[in-house]
Amino acid sequence: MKSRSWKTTLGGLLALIGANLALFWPEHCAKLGGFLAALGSGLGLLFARDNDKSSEDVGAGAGSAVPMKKLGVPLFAALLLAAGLGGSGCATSNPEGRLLASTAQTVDAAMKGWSIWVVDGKAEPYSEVRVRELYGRYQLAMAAAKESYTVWKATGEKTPWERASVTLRQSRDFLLNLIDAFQRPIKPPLPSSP
Amino acid sequence: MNAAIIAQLIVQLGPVALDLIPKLTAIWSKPELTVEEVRELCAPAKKSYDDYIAEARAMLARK
Repeated sequence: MKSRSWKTTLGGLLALIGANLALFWPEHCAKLGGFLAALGSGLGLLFARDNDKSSEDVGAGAGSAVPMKKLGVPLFAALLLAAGLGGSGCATSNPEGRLLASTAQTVDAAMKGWSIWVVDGKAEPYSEVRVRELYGRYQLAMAAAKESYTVWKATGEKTPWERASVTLRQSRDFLLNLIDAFQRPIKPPLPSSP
Repeated sequence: MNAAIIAQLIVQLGPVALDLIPKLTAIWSKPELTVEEVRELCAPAKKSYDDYIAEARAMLARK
């Protein structure tokens, strides 16, 4: 008997429910529906496997010593932010400050996972150099974003914040993507065809 | 973010969600977030790369 993957099935169900909520009950659930649809799609894709990848290719069933159960965690958190946590019925005052705080906490979690990976001796020297470099860039972007956010709140001048927040998002995504990529197992080369 | 979604994240992501998700939930569910609070929440960004490595070493040494 074929068994479905419950994770992707759940993701699909969430996406369907969200889309239907937004479609048939837009006056009450447009934001929640959109959020659920994005969440379901994101989860489904995170746990999906390309149909040309075998269980061996993706390391299914093999024991993993990844320090955080899934190193996609920070990415997942970023996905949540991108999907609009604030649109799910939560308070939405000061979304810029919430973005700053969420980014700092998310990157902090990612760096904690990464540093355990490094201390465990699992990181290549090259990857450590790259993460260190991108973390430095993220820190500069965060400092600039915090400064411009403070200026904006004090003076009402928003333009520097708008620029700085774009740079911050980019540096966060570069760093999180790099950490995620370096913590994936290296795939063996495909056998050459005769 | 509601209880169902939080429960699902914990199921999906495991123990690490128990640490990160409550922080994100708190940030997004507070009615007001002052500039000072934002500054405090951003404090981890001041930690250097070497600070993280030192913390990880200390944590693994305790185990």
